[in-house]
Amino acid sequence: MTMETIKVRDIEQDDSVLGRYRGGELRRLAVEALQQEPRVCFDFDGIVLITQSAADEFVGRLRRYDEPLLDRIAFANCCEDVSHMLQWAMDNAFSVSERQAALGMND
Amino acid sequence: MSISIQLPQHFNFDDLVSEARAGRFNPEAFVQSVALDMSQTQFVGIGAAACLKALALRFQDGWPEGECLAMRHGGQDCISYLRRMDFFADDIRWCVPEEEARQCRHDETGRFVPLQKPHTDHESATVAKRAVECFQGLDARIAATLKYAVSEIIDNALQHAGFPHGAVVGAQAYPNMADRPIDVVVADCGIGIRQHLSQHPMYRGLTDDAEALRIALTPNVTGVYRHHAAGGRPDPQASENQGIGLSVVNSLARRNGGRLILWSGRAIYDSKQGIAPMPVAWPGTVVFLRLPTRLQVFHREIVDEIHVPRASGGKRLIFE
Repeated sequence: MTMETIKVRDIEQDDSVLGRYRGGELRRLAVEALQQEPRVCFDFDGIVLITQSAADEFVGRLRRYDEPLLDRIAFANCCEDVSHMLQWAMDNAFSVSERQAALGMND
Repeated sequence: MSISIQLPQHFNFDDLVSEARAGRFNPEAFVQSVALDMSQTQFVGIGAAACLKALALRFQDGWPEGECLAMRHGGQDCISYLRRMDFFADDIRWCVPEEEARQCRHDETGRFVPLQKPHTDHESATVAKRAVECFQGLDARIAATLKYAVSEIIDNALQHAGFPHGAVVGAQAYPNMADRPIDVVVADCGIGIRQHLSQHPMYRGLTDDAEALRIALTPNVTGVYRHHAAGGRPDPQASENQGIGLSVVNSLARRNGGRLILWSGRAIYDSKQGIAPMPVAWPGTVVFLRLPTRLQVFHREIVDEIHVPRASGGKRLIFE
């Protein structure tokens, strides 16, 4: 099975992914790659920080609006802080999504 | 016809707030062109400079032709500092009778990030990186937390303020002080926190700026929602808000002996004093952060403490 690998460090040209814009850019790249390939891998080698807002805009937003895509995305070479923040954003998106439903905001 | 404002001997962000509380500095006076009397002023700090610049950018288009932000009797040190901080860049209408040259000179010691107007989150990331570079040999964990805090407060302004100029941002490091702090200021003259929150279905009737500050600082209270277009329907392309960024930065400041101040409308929050009313309004939001770089608590620990009610069978990402 083919899989595209996206090296986050090459995109950011830095050791950090800061802010919603950058997180949104990673999400856009994921969606784009998954239109061509069955799976995509984000290689976080050399990345030491992803902010909560960037992680939410990337995986949190996918969780809320395109959840099936997350089964086709792998995350490689994450340091503990980065994997922790990505999973945290994922978990938090779930709970807030429930709140949205309660508010009738999911339409 | 300009209005004259006497600036105090020291004019840092704290001093600006004190002057506003005492009724001697009213941001809304900048609706007219302003002459700043700096005859007593020996020092201008990055926080106050950013506020003055944001106000000039906000109101100068309404000033009569030929009028400007005038600085009278300013000592050479103050003018020189403002110049090094790029105060006079970005098409600001200013005049300093004693000075002619408009060129900006940068401090080669690299202890500050000159005032700038990031318009995009990408530019805000650049500012966050430059703030970290103010310190040499910073521990990687501390550098990451500092970047995190600076990025989140700038992002917050760019996401929510609706200020056509983005935000006025600057930073100054104090590597020779005991806890080696850095001051970061983000000043906008946009819609303010209360009006921003009133776009949320839960806070449509919000009329109190103090209550708006309380909500903005409470993690996960605002929750995710889509910004609504003019017709009232959610805009699926618009960015979202989780109401977490400011609360994390606030905890970072409080638990590391730093300070966070938010002034929006007629209310102010100071992490050392709580929320208080202001006699005059800031037309938008100013965020002032002082964060020591001898940190005891890091951003990850604070994010972890935010309660996340997980559903059973919560999805795990695929880590390889």
